[in-house]
Amino acid sequence: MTAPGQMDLAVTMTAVGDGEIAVVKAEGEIDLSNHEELGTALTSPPCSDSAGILLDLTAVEFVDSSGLRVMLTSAQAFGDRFATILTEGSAVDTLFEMVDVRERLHVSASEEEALKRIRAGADGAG
Amino acid sequence: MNACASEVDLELPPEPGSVAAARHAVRDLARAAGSSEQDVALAVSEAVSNAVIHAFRFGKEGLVRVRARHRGHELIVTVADNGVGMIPDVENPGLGVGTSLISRLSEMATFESSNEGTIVTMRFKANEGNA
Repeated sequence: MTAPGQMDLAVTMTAVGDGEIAVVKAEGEIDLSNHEELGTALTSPPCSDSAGILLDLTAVEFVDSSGLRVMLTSAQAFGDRFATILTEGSAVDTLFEMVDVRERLHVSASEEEALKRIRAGADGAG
Repeated sequence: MNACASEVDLELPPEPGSVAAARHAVRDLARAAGSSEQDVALAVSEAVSNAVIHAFRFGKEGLVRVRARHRGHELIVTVADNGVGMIPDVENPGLGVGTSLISRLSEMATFESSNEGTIVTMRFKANEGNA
């Protein structure tokens, strides 16, 4: 349930490839009022049990540094087994460019590329 | 909020939900003024988040006031709080990029801090508006 003043954010998680990779899709706006919701999703099953995380930000309309911090924490924990996809030219893309985190968050051109990258990272780690 | 379409004037509690309330109100004005909605929205979100997170520590209570007006070729946004001022926060949960983003997103940003609070003034390019 959304608390008063809290932004609408929907986070859905799907396990793909026999559950090896968790795909987390966020929709809406991410700010100080709800960034912990994304953080919880990224640290709970199936994410916590997976070999890697694909964070799909293509339906995120806005994110500020509070949301970015959550993403960076997860990316640091998973290393090469973490990747993001986003919409070019979006508010998310603009923030990533400004803070220069595209590489750290392993921004990929497509879901397929992101999954390939995560699998390669998992193979390298294994 | 001021009924005039070229101004926003909000007094908000220092709560996380106030960030979106301020951002949406000023973003609507930015759209009407021909300013970059993305830049204005992000800068306002960072400024109000900073006030909510840092201004009201040590038991201090108060409000965050957000004012925006379209004048000439500018959209001028002020985020003011009557908190503790800009003092180091060792429990800072942010990335520490808020003020840097504000400076880069706006044409000009000023930060005034005292023991009576903090005032952040941001100026953005806009279409010709009211004199």
